[in-house]
Amino acid sequence: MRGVGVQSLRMSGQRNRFAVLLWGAYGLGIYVFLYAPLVCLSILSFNNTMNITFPWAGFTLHWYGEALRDRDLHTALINSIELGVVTVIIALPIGIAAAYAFRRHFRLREALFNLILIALIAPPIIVGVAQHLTWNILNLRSSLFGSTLMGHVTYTIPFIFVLIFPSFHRFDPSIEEAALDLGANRFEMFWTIVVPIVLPGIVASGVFAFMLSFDEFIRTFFLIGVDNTLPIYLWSMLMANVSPETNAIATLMMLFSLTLMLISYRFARQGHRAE
Amino acid sequence: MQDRQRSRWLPLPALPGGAYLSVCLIVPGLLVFFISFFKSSFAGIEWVPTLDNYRRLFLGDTDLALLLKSIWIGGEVTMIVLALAYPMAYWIASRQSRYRHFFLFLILVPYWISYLIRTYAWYPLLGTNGVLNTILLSLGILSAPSERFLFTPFSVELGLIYVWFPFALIPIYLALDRIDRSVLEASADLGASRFLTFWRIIFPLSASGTVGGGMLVFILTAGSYVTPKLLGGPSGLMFGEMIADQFGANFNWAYGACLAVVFTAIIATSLLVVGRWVGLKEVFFGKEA
Repeated sequence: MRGVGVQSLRMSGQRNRFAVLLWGAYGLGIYVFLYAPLVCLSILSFNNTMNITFPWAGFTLHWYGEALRDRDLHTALINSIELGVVTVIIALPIGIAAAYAFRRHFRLREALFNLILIALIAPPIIVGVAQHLTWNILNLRSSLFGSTLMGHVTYTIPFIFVLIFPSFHRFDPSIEEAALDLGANRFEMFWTIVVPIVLPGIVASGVFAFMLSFDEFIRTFFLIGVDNTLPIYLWSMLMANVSPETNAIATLMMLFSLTLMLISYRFARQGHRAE
Repeated sequence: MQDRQRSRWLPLPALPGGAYLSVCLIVPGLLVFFISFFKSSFAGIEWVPTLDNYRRLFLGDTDLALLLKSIWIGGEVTMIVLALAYPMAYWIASRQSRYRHFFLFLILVPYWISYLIRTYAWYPLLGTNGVLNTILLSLGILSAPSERFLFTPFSVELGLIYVWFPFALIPIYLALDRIDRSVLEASADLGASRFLTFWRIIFPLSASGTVGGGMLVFILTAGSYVTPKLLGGPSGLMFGEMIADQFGANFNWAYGACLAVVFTAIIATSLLVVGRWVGLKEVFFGKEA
């Protein structure tokens, strides 16, 4: 990622072979730890049995069929996608504008920085509870595009800010000044000069924000009311009864996450090159 | 132009973000604080100020014990995660640059996957007929399947370590990556051993990222709801679940608000203490902040 050094931290000189081996084993061990549970889960989604675990009873696509036929799952999926898209549409401009404002000094700069920091590291359950309480005190009904949307926008704004902020910061201010000198107004300058340069970064953080919303559980749990999102549906499944269908749904969600991550990375790398 | 900008309170582009977060985050926070000084009844909130909620928490045994237990688990998990993540971040930062991105990418993949799934993924591994038991049985280490792996304090802590590991590694890695390599060369040129360079230069320079990542893990663990609920079984109750219950089954908003206030106060205090010697802003926003 960004940083001064392109070289590695490792210093030149002789290295103990045993130490190299030990470090390698450690690195491998961590990756096994991170991936083994997820890989096992995916394999077991093809298991031809009612159990969620081994022993292996033969290959089947039955559980994927069950998942695809699941009506409630469809509704939850569509809710999640719509909520994610609307969240990004609202949160992205707000986050970008805030990050852009931070290129200059202003009196409340420090206060706003702290506000974003709080939003970023506040315990999720406290935020969820506080928003839930507020919504109820105001006597409003919890809903997907009311309370839940409000919570998701609160959740994603600081992340968008953090991701966009560095690319705005690296951006050379003399280009903006040149545009203004040549007669562009501020909006034209922003739209025709700044946005195209940071666009890949904007797309990358938009995709990331969508993923945050799509996967969000605990805040949603307090704000959703009667509707379902995919994580809420998965939760009710985990609370009631798990079956290999759960594994199949989880595998599909992981594939979806991975795809979005690769898309986001492509744009992020393109952005680094553009700058 | 610069001077005119400097004197402004809040530029227009920052207004929506500032206003939104104030209304949807700070106002609810203040409301929770306010409500915590009242009492819930079957009809809603009784608008007579009282300290009853705080008395109930601090003078009773069970609820306070649960708070302390959650903080203890938070500290424990944070230490283990840091002990695992620091060497890993160092290991990745020591790779040549073309491999480094790939190794970091592998750490980030789980970050993108729902933590519900990453928690549930331990069911098939740890259960009575699970993978771990099967392996241990076939190796002859166990003679009968053990039920100690799932729905125990062990599985809760394992799940928490697993889920928050990338959250700790990334700030550590970023701090290590920001270290100017010429400083290390200078240190070596001046005759410092590899260990001395690490201990006197690399470690202090990466301390902010380490402490920042640790704080993040601590906050998320102490207030966790999903992992204890899924992997904890009946004895796995933690403070987060207790807060949640006041807004669900127990229907005691005022007491729930009080629990939230106390929890937030503990987190805020620890952040302020840590923030005295680590620039948290730098950890999360980079050097530019």
